[in-house]
Amino acid sequence: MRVTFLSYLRLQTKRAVKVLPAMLVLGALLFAALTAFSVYAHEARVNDPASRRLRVGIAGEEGNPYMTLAGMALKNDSISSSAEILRVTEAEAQQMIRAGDLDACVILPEGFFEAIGVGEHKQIRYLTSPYRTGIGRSVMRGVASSISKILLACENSIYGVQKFISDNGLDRNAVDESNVLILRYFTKALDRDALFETVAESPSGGLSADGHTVLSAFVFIMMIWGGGAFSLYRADSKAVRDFLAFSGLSPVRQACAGLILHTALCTFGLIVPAMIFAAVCNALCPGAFEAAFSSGVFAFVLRVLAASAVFSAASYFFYTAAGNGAGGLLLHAFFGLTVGYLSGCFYPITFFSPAVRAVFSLLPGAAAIRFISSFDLFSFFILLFWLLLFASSALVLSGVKRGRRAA
Amino acid sequence: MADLEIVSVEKRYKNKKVLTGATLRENAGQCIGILGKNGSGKSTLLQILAGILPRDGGSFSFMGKDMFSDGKARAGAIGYVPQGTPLYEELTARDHLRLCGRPVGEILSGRFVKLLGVGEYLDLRVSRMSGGMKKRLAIAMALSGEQKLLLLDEPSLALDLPCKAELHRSLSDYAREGGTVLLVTHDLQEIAACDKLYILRDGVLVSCPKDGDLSAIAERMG
Repeated sequence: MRVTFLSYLRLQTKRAVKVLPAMLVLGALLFAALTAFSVYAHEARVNDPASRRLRVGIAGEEGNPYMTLAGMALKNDSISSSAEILRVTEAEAQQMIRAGDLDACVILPEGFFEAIGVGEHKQIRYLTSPYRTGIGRSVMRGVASSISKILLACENSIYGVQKFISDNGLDRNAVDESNVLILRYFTKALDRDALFETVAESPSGGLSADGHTVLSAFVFIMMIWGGGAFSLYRADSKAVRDFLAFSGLSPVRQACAGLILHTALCTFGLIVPAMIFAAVCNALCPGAFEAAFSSGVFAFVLRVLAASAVFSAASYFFYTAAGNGAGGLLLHAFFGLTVGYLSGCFYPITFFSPAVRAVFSLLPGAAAIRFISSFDLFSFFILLFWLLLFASSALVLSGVKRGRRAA
Repeated sequence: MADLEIVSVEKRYKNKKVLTGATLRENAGQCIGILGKNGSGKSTLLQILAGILPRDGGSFSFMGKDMFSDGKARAGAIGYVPQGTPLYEELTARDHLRLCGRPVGEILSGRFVKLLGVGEYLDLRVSRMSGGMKKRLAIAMALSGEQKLLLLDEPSLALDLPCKAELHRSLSDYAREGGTVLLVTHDLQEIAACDKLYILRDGVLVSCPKDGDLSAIAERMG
C-alpha cells in the first residue's frame, strides 16, 4: 500500500473537523469567561476607593533642590487628591510598575528646571503601567500645572527679592538683574507649554493596555487550545508512525500535513468564537462592549493567523518530541507562557535591559507586536521572515524527531 | 531456492549486537512464528524486513525479488502491522481504508481482504470496535494492495479469547489462499496455529520443532 500526502491530509482533515466543535465551544467559553472577568475587574476597580487612588512616581536628578520643590508642588496640586506622589529613581519606577506598585512615573531629565529657567527646550518622559495607560494624559496635565506653579513661585520669589532690594536701597545692578529675570519669566510664562514637551515613552512597545490584555488572553487561549488539539495527537502512537513510515509517507511529510491542519484548525477555532461572541455582545448591549471589546477582537483576529502558525509548529514539535499528548501539552503550555512573557505579551519588553531586549525582540510575539504597531509592508515582511523561520525550524525538528521514532 | 529467504541479517544498537546473522528459508503459503525472550530482537527483525529500520548487513528476498533494495517491490509484496493498533479512534473503517490510496470497494473485493470481513463494519468508528475488529482492519489496510507476505508484530496482544480465535481464523484463511505470514508472538494459541516456528536467540534464528511441549520451547528460548 502507498499512503500519499493528500490521502493522509484528507484523513487528518476529517479528524480535525471532528475536534472542531469541541474547540469552538471551548473558545466561546473562554471568551465569555475572560470578558466576564475583565468586566468584573473593571467594576471592582471603579468601585473601590483605594484602587482609584493612583500612585505616581517622580524621578529625576538626585540632590537637586528643584526636585524636592517639584515633589512638594505635585503633592499639593490638584492631582494629589486622586494620587499619591512618590520620589523614585527610574530603575525603581520600572521595577515598581512591573510589580503593580506604581501606576505611572514622570521622569524629568537632568538639569530640567535650570534649562527651562533659561528658556531651553526639554522633554519630560513618563512611564505608565500597561494596565493603566489611560492615566498618562491626566498625570501629565497635573505635572504641567505643577511646573507652572514652580515657575510662578520663582517669579514671586524674584519679586520679593526685588522689593527687598528697592525697599532697602541696595545695589542698583542687582535690581536690574532681577528685572531681566522677571521679564524672562513673564515672557516664558505666557508660552509655558513651548518650554517643555511631554513624551510618552510607551512602555508597552507601541501597544495599548488593551493590546496587552488581548495578547495575554491570546497566549492563555493558545495554551488551552493546545489542550484542544491534544486529542489529535492522542492516537498518533508509535504504531501509526511505523505504519505510515512503512507505507511510504516520510516523517517530514507527516509533520507537514500535521502542521497545516493544526494551523487551520486553531485559526478557525479561535476566530469564529471571537466573531460570534463580539456579535452577540454587540446585539445584547449595543455600544457597551464596542470600545473595549470590538477593537480587542480586531486586534486579536489580526494576530491569530500569524501566531497560530508559530504555535502550531511549536506544539506539533512538542507533541512529537514528548511522544504523547499529555507530555506535549505540558511542554506547549510552558512554551506559551515563556514566549508570551519574553515577547512582551504580559509585560512590555522595554522593561528588560537593552541586551536582553535585542534577543527577545526576535521572538514571534515581539515581532507580531511590532507589526501591529507599525503595520507597514516592511514590518510585514520582517514578521513573515521570522514566522517562516520559526515554523520551518519546528517543522524540521518534528520531522527529524518523528523519523527517529519511526526508526 | 525458497520463496522466503532471510539471510544473515545483522543489527547493532551502539555497542550491543541485537541480530548477529538471522537466517530463515521457507516456502510461501505458511504461517511462520518467531518466538524469543523480551528484548531478543524480534520486533527489530520485523522492522528491518519492513524497511523501517536500517540494517547493518544481510539480505531478504521474497518470490525471487530483493526486498531490501527495491522499495517499490517491497511495498507491493509486503504488508506490515506494527505492535499496537495503528488506527485513529474517532474515524471509521471506511476512513482508514481511504488512506490506502485505492478505492474502498476495490480494496474490499480483494482476495485476501475479503476473508477478513471488514465490509461488515465499514462505518463503525474504531472506538466502538472490538480488539479483533481493530486488528482485522489494520491487517486489511496492510493487505490493501494484495500483498502476499504479511509481517505481524504480536497481533494477539491485549485481545480476548474470541477475538484471538477470530484473528487466527482470518490468518489461516490467508495462508490457505497462498499468503505467507511471518509473525512475532508470545501467544500460545498463535504458536499452536503456526506451521513453522523459529526461536530468536543470541541474535540468530533457530528452527524449533512444533511438536515439542511448552517447557521444551521455553528451554530452547533460554
